[in-house]
Amino acid sequence: MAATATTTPGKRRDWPAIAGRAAIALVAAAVVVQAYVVIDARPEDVLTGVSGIFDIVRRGLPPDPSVLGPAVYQALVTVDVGIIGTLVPIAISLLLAFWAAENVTPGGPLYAASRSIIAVFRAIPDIVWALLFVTAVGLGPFAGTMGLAVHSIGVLGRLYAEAIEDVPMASVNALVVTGANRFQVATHAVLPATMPTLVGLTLYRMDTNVRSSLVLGFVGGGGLGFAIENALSLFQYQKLLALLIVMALLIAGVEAIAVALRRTIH
Amino acid sequence: MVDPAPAGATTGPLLVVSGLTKRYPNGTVALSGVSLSALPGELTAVLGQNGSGKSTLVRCIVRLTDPTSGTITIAGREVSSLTGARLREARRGIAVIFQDASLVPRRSALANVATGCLGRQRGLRTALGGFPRRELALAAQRLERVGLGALAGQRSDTLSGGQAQRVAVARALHQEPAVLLADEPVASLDPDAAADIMQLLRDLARQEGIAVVCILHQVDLARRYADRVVGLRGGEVVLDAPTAALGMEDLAGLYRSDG
Repeated sequence: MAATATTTPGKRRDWPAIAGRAAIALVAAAVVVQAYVVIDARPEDVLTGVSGIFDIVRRGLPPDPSVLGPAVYQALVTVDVGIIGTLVPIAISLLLAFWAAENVTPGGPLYAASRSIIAVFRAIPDIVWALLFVTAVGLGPFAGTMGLAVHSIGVLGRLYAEAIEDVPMASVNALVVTGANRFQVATHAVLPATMPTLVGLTLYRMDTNVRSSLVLGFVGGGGLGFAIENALSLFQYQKLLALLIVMALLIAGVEAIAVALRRTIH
Repeated sequence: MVDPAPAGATTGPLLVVSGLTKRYPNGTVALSGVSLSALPGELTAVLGQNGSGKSTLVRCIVRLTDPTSGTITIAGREVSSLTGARLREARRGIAVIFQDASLVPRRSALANVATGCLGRQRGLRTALGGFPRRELALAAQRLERVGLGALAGQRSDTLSGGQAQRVAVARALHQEPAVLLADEPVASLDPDAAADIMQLLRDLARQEGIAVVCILHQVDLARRYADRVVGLRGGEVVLDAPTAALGMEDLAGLYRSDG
């Protein structure tokens, strides 16, 4: 019987399948090897160069307290860029998410357009958006905010859409058949059911955005990142160390606040 | 009957389904020329085994699926070809109760009942997720009517199955419909809760003059609570008679396995 022949193992090896797997393994190995060569990896330099890191720290001691005053303001700028860069996208992302979520989309061009906007805004990193906005509106926190906001529209749009797709369709249909319109279905069924998830996603994004805002400072987005970049390029290591301490406190503080907020909504 | 239909209520049928056919794109014919009508003050049971077309019938009547041909008339208005705003307007006349209560999770029982008003309340307040005060007061009365006045503030996802289905009945009532269509409303309830819901549906038909159409697959519940029984088999109506005129043999025929 043909059936018994195929279920008897070991009799005949499936050579095409074995060759296929070997090819996949070879390609995977080649990818890893070329990556190791291309990144110019020299692990021994990490050991010999570790003194360089200590050297910077030594030169940074004692930290220069004169930058603390301006640093507090710069930290505030960094946080505010993250906050506005998260708040601006909320309404836009929500609208896009309602059009893009498989279960409540009106379909047609709105579905295609919202999916495309979300994909493009999300695919281009915030730092690239920020550079684009630096050329448009000049150096400073506004360019950083715009960069974060545009990228976050894509990220939050996708996360919101996924949350909406988890809403039980039964409750959505139940309102549709009462004669409720699309907007009422959104505010009376979808939003109440997903609100804790949406708030949690937004808080998490705000936490991420404050940290991204630090990095955007390096490319001219203003705030603490900009000050750190300046100190580094002017070899002012004592100022640098003071700024890094402020940065560490800032990140720890933002993280603690985000955790506390998330706990209250659950 | 103990509770006659209210004086002055319409006496013609509130729901008329005529020659309804549903053929799916893959060629399956789920409904074939189904006709039935439902009178105010009466509970009509639609019986049939799985695959007989009961669920498709419901989805066609409420237009979650479009019928291939045939007409559906609710309170004198032909709805099978309506779309958009006119469909939403027509949907107000028919309230639906699903097998699982289909309540909005995380919202109170009262808010769930109040959503019954969304078809007639198009203002800014309902668009933003709120309700007019008058509608909340009415919703509270309707929750009282189904015996759950004390649970108004309780979150819907903490209610028992029977309580949740009562909230769904109150929501349907709050829609102030001409027709109440219940799709196996007691299929996931224990026998006592099921009997309570059936009794409630029949009382609502009598007292509010609503035409109640109840999809069932329990013959005994149909015999106890329905005024009229429509039997579906293989997508066709094979039985349509007053419950009093039916013998066990007629009903058992619906469930023969040779179909």
